[in-house]
This record gives sequence, structure tokens and C-alpha cells, in this order.
Amino acid sequence: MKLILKKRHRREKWFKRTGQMSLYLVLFFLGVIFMEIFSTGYSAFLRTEIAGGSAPQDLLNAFEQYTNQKKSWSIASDAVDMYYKHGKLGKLTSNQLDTINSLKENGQIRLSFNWAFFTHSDSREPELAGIWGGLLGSILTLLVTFTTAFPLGIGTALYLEEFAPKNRLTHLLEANINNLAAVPSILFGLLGLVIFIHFMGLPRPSALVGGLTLGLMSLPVIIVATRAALSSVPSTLKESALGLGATPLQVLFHHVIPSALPGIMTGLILSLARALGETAPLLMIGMVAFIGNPPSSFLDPATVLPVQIFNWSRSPEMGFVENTSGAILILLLLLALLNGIAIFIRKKYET
Amino acid sequence: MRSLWLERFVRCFFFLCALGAVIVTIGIVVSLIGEAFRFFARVSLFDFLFGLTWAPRVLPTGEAVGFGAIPLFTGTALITLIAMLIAIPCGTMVAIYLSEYAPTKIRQTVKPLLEILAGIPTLVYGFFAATTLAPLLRNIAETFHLTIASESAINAGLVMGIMILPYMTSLCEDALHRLPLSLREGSMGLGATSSETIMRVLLPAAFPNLMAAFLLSLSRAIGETMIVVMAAGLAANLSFNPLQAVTTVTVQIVNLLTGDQEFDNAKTLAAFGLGFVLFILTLILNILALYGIKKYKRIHG
Repeated sequence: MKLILKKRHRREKWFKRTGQMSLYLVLFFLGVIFMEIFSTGYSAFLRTEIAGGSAPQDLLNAFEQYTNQKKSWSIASDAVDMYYKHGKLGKLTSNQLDTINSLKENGQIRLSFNWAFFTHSDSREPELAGIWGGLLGSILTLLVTFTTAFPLGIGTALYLEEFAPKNRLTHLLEANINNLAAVPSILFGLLGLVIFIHFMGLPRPSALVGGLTLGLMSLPVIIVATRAALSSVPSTLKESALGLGATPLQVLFHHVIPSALPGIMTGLILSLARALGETAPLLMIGMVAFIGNPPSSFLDPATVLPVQIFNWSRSPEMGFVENTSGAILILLLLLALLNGIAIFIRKKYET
Repeated sequence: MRSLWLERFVRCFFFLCALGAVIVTIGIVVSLIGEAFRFFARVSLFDFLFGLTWAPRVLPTGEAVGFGAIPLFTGTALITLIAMLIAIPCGTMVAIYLSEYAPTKIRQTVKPLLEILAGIPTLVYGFFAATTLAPLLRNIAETFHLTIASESAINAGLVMGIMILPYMTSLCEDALHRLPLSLREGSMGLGATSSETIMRVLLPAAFPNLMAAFLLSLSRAIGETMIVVMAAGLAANLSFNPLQAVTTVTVQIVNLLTGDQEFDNAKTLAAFGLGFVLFILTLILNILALYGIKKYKRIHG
């Protein structure tokens, strides 16, 4: 009897420990992924520069070779950058290596903060490429998403939750929207391609088309989140307002919406975060093309940050690996910011 | 009187919004079906669904050949299977630990963390798979004298498993935590240990909701695009060897549409054929997860 009990207790201990171990294992793997991206990415924020006049032309960036001879520090080429930061030899000749080492001894080569990474647009040369074009494209795209999907989504949620008669049609509509929220995002890309480009003939890789496509994708998510927020408003609130003589419209705008607002806001921000990180549907509508200038209007050819990251990740140059990681870090930072705002709103209005 | 008019107007406005949402749904179905039908006018449905070679091209005679999608389906199945083999046991165990054993403090920190992690763009995981895990796997395979493709199914599957974990864990944890306390108390009152309570009482009780969590994760894994685009490759091998390169439905959709092709090409239309299959497949999984479970509960619950 005692033996059996002991066995059962041992099994209990093992079970608990397995659970604990799997939690730590999962957190460990996720941690490894982010550490890896951080450790390759942070060096994208630094760039190697060589003191003006002291460097031979072949060590400088091609653009700098011809223009900025008088500058006190010039941008080094990709190969020099990789060697100085990570000790990777690449295609450097032994002659060039000697030159770099003597520059190093004389203090004529340095690392400085890579502002170009934030202010430049995409470039074929990793030492000149920056995220500004993609970032601006993302902002314009999300602006379109924001202005189309939000009113439509909130309106639909309000209709379903407050006005819709409880009949078969409404039920079908609800089922439809729940399903739509779980459809793979790539299919929304196909939809955007057919409707906005093939059918409506809007300019192809523009922020407008990207934003509308992402709007289609966010719509069901926004509806589901808004409905959840609306249905969590206690019915006593509505009933007491109605009892005091408020019209249904007054109840809605003076009581229901204000008290559901934090929940609605949280849902909106999280759907925006999802749209910010989305890549696949935008590949479908041709945003994958190389674009060297930041877009100046909604109709200009544009790319977005995740797509630019995808493009960089496919480039063969070594310098683009750290650029990719660096841009991912920026993307994650933006997402963390959005999530932080959502958590802040939820915490503040929870009570 | 004025307020009555306003009321009608507002109601009408909200109805129009809802109508917009319906139009979007119908738009997806119609555009997919429309384009898919144009594709099936050129390549027969039977050849597409049961053909064994995927090498899409249009002959000079105008005949479209090589549109057999079986290698894509098996590739998708293989990668999803690997992902699920990782995600289901790990996700369930973590959910059990979080819901039943973990101190409140750990639960309250890990739960929101999981929700944030579930929102990380899959592009990030894809980049990790392509640049870090692929060389690592090659080194491991070499020490065992195995040959592994640089873009292997196991690479994509492993990372997809890790990608799906936070999402699945969060859903499973909800399913377990929502069970009434009386179930636990009753079982423990009869002398069962915690693990016995979990295995014999809680898991069976939460089974429909756990199945729903698995199905939703499965549907997400099948529709996942960026990880497989970056880590799984384009070679349409009909193989179940996880060390070989395989391709998936989503990879081929991206591949067929990211060139500069005109619209009436059979190759571009094929993307819609694939999209249609993907839509039907995920639709079935979602309906099963969202409604089939409800029915099961009504019968057994």
C-alpha cells in the first residue's frame, strides 16, 4: 500500500517537473532566437569610417570615392566594414589588409553611429542602405488601413452587437466574420490583387493598395475585438440609462461606447500591430520590388518595413545580414511599443 | 421627432458597415472561385489535385503542363506535421503547468508574454531559420554522416513549431483554466494527486476546447507563409524525408505571383487555384474548431 502511494507521489513529482521543464525550454528557445537576432543586429547601428585623405580609394564606399574627398571621415566599403567589425575577410586582398591594419594603428579608422541606417532608403550597397523608405511606407500604409478598416469594423461590430435582429442572417454573418478572422493572411493578398489592382486598376506597389489590402485583413479582427469589448459592458448600465429616459442612441453614445472604449482601443492597437508586421499579403500585390526613394504620396511606389527586411534577407552581401537583423530589431521595438500602449490602456482602465 | 430620424440614420449607417463586411467575405469567395475556375478551364481539376509533378509551364502550343499539386500538398503536410509534433506536446505541457501548478506570479507574467510572443511577425522566425538554424542543422547532420538540404523540411518545421507554440499554449491554457474549480476539488477530495486529476479529470473535460486549440493552430500552420518562403525552398520534391527540401502551397503562391507576369497566364491563375484549395482547407478546420466542438459539447458535455 505504502509502495503504491510512493509510486504515485513519484509520478506526481515527475509530471510537475516535466511541465516546468517544458516551460523553461520554450522560453529558452524563444530567448535564443531573440538573443541571436540582437547579437547580429546591433552592429547594423554602427558603421566603419576612415579618416579623410588617409585611405586608398579601394577601401572606401563607391559613392564616397568620387564625391567626398574633403570630409574629415569617409564611409568605408562593405568589405572593410565587415572586417573591422567582425574580422571577416571576405574578398579583401592581403595588401588591403595591411593598409587597414596600419590605419588601425594610426587611429585613422573608427566606428561611429550609423545615422544613415535611419535616414536613408534602400540601396544596393549595404553600408548605405537604410530603413527610412520602408518605415515611411509602413506609416502611409497603416494610415490607409487605419482610415478604412477602423470605421467600417467598429460600425459593423456596433450593428451586430446593438442593433441587429437575432435572426438566421445575423447568425450567418457572425459565423462568417469569425471564420474570416482565421483565414490565412496570404489569401487577403490574392483578394487585394484581384480587386484593387486587376479590377480597379490602382497603381501597383503603392501604399494605397497595401493599406487597403491590410485593411481587408484587419477588418474581421477589429470586429471580433470590438464586439468582445461591447459585450463586456454590463447590461445593468444600459437598463438604468434606459429607465431614466435616455433614447437608445443616447445610451449607446453616452454610456456603452465610453465604457467599452478602452477595450476597443486595445483591440485596434493590437490589430494595427499585426498589420505592421504582415508581409505575405503585400508580396502578392507587388510591394516586393526594389524601391530606392521614400514614397512622397499614397500613390507612389512604396515598400514597407517587413517587406524590406524580407528583401534584405535574400541579398547575398554579408553586410545585409546585419542590416536585416538591425531592421528586425527596429520592427520588434515598434511592436513592443504598440503592445506596451495596449497593456497600459488595459491596466489603467481595468478597475 | 428629430431624434427618431437620427436614430434611423445611425442604424442605417451601421447596417451599411455590416454590409461592407459581408461584401468583403463574398469578395474573397467570388474572386478566388472566379480566378480558380479560369484556371481549371485550362488545367483539369483532376490533373491539378492528383498530378504528381509540379513544374508549371506553358508550352508554345498553349498547353499548360506540370500542374500536379500533390508534391505541394505532401510538402505542406510534412512541414505542418513536424511543427505539430513539437507544438502539441510542448504546448499542452506548458499550458498544464501554467494553469495547474505555476504560482500566480509566474502565470501572470508568462500569460501576457505569450500573447505578445504570438504577435511576433513570422518573418522574424523565418530569418532565424534561414540564417542560424540551417547552418546549425547542417553541422549536426554532418557529424552523423547524413546529408541535409540547405533548405530542409525539418528546418522550416522546427521553427514553425516554435512559432506556433505561444499561440497554442495560450489557447490551451484558457481551455484548462476555464474549467470549474469543483472538478478539481471533487477529484482531489477522492484522494487523487494533482497529476491524476489532470490526466483523468481535467484533460477529458477540456478535450473539446483543446481540440479546438489544436485545429486553430493547425490552420495557422498550414496558412503560414513567411517561414516556409524563407526556409523551405522551391524544389517540389514528392518526399517524406524531413532532411530533403520540400515546398508548400503558400511558397508556390508567392513564387507564382512575385514575378512580373500578365494576368491571363496559366501560371498566375494557378496561384488562385492553390489559394482556393488553401481557403477550403482552412475553412473546414476553422468551422470544425469553432462549431463542430460546440456540437460535441452538446452531446457529451
